[in-house]
Amino acid sequence: MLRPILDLSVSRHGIQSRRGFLKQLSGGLTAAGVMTLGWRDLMMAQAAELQKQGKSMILLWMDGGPSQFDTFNPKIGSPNQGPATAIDTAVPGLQFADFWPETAKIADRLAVIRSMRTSEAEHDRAITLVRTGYPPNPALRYPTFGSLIARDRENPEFEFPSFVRIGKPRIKTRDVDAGVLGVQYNSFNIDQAGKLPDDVRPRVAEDVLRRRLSLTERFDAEFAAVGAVAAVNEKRSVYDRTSRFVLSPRLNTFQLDNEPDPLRDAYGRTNFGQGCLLARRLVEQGVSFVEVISSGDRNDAGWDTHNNGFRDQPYLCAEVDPALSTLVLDLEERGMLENTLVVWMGEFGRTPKIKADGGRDHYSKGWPVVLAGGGVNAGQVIGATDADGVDVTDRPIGIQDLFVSLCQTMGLDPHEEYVTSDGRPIKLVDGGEAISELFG
Amino acid sequence: MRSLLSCAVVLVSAAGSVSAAERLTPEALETSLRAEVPAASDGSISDEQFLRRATLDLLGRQPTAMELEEFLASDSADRRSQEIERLLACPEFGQNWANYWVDTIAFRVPPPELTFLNYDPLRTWLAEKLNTNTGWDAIVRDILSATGKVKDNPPVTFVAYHEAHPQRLASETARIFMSVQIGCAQCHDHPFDDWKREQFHELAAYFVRASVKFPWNEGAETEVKDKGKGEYTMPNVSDPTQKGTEMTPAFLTGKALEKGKSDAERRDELAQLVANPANPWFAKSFVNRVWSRLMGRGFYDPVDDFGPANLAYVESVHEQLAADFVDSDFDVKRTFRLIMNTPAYQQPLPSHVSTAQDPFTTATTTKLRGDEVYASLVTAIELPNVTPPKMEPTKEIRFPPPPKSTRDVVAETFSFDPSARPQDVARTLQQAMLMMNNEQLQRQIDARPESGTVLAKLLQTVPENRDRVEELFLSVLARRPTDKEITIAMEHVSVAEDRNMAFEDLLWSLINSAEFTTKR
Repeated sequence: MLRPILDLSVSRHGIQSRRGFLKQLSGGLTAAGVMTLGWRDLMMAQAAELQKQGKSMILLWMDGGPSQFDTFNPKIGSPNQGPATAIDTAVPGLQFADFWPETAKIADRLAVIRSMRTSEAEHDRAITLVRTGYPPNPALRYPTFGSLIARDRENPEFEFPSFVRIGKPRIKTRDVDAGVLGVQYNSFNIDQAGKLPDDVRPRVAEDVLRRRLSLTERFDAEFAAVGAVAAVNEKRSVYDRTSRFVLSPRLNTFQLDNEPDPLRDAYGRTNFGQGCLLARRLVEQGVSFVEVISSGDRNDAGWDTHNNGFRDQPYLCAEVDPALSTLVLDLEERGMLENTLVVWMGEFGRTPKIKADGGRDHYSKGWPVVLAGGGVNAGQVIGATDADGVDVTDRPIGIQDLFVSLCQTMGLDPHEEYVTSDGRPIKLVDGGEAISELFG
Repeated sequence: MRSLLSCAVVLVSAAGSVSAAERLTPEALETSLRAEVPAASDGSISDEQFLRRATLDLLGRQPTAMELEEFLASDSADRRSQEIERLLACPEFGQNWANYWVDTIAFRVPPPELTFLNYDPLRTWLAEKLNTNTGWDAIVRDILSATGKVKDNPPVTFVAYHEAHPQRLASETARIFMSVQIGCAQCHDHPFDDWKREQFHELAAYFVRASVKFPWNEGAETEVKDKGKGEYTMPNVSDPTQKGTEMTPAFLTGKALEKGKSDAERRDELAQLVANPANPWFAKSFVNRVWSRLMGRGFYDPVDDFGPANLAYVESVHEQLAADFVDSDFDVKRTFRLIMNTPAYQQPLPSHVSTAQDPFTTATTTKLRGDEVYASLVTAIELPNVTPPKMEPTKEIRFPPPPKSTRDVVAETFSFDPSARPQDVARTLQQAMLMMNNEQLQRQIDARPESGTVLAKLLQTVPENRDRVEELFLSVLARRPTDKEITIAMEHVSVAEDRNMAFEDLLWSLINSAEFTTKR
């Protein structure tokens, strides 16, 4: 009986307009009649269950642009080789840089794209491009992918934000957000994994807050009665959501204390590692999009290894290797991998040529993206660069192709249009073709 | 709060080129408006409601209990007009509207790489200009033609923070100061409008010789200089690899400037053409923005688009107000005075819910801007402004973001683009969390005598619960409670085990009420 009740409630709340999400839900809009008692209560109780049925995505963001040579496209014997050697992986014939021993063991769960080719090689412009799918446009702030997901999955009854970010971008001026979609689709930001932002937890006991909320409702009703109905209704709906969030008995989802130590150790005791664990916990509770930012925590250069690449690469990789591999295995063990797409990427790769001090500059003509879960075909490599890692020799993939594929995995129509507040229609993705190797 | 009351009552006599007899009056404005749209009722808001509405609109905060008391004590027949004058003479008037214009500009400035933009110099400069009632034409001319460093010459901020980018500046100059959306004509002739692609690029050509260099971290060090050479080239759209067409600067009205001019000559010329009585859009754009903020809806919405797709509402009234603005030599305070003295400005909210309410037949609720929410919290509960220490850049952390004060946090959380249509401005989870749980704010909701808060003092000095309720309403919502509200509050106080807690609940409830962050 559960499913029909859910679906009917959904229709009452207008969620049927939520395109991609609904497509993923099984069952029809049937069983009229069950809505007589407390459909709203039922809806609230089941919102998280419902939310979990849509796929989720975890973006592991390598802030600064990771070197392809020292990650997933090593070029052993080339003058461009760099500090890493190569190791075998769980997929015969596939090698990773030796800074990735744990990830190598789970390569059969990964789809490794080695042939991303994009047009922007400055951080701010490249971040805009690969986070929004659109080239930078000074007249229009395109939304980041997480905001598009948040809009698609919008569910006023779900008590958590649908788009959560863990960790801070290394340089604030380069940040992207919901842009023209509007502030309500911005990410909910957690700087430090395991610690909720300051304004979430109520400063008073739950019964006190509830008492205050009901008192303020009574004053609001008076205000509504003198011509302010619209203002009061809008406020109420936001306060309903907010109070459900801040008073949620599941708020401890954001805490990590109760996770077993061995698991926490396996993720790595870094903000990124613990952030990946938190990401799993959030997805488990129905959050649709989580991004976890890796920047090494040592300085604000992050993966932007212009200088001292030989020194910094091992540190950066050691932060991500255990976290990425443990995340994929953890999701798998919990039966969540099929419904959770994990994406590892940065804004570009690094130049093949190594500078005197071991650093590399920005390079957008052949860089890697790694995908896992979400039902994409794993255990494969897509695309290739030449022996020195200079040019894409097989299967060049543009950013729109990647975005179309992300949309397809997440159940969104990539060519759907939304309309900005000034009346401008914008497609989720402009052009691009799905990366067919990932599907079918 | 006493300092806020220091604004003297100054009756400003407007000077202009048109004789007094021909001048637009609030009465004439009302007559024109009512000829087009009748009022839903002939009522007017109460003095309390008027004072809160007018103080929010002019000073960007609610009135203090003392201001309200003084205003209600006046038995002068034209006390509302006098109050408008008093408020226009307050320094907070300039600060509030400087905030509005800074937001208008800043909301569409893309963040530059590695520099944190600092709008405080522009804010201070603009506040001063508005307070001395400098003509809007002179202000805009400064904004478009300034050179030098932001910290030395604040009006240069607009050109500087747009990185002296000719296309961005062309599109934003037209949008902000003329409500003309010519930006789409950058790549193609405007699909609905009359704008040709050439016209966009001719406008951009006025900015081509400005150059700017951003220092790392500190935006106020940004400097605009003359490049010394160069002409503007319109890109070749059919083949971007080919050289485009060199453009002569020319304004939308057709007036052109020969090539070879310096940066100063180009931008001075443009500034003259934009801020000019002969520019058909300049005065209309300004009065529409002010009208929209005061009345809750513009003659055109959004306020930055007069485009043909956007239907004008009561256009004759708009024309009349704009003509008066031109005739008064772009007297900013006069425009406020004209609108706010009309019965239309002072009409109440709709008495019953109607889905299809015609604009201007009743008043409408609007959301307070971020800085208005902050200023209202300061007025209501003396919210302190705490700024964490500034982090200096180090070798490891080269770009530490500037610290955020309490004011920054509140203003940013509640901020929205002033050019957006009111219905597109959404309330957010973050706003609700801040009002519900923010530590600084909750510390002011403390009834214990040792806390020293406004609430604690009130409980110490006012003995009767009923009077305390009244005082709380006065300080938070700037009005007396209704009988029903008193009943609700007294019920709450009487059943509570702890009187202090009951009043903390009350204060919290009023701060978190929809009304507190709404202009009614």
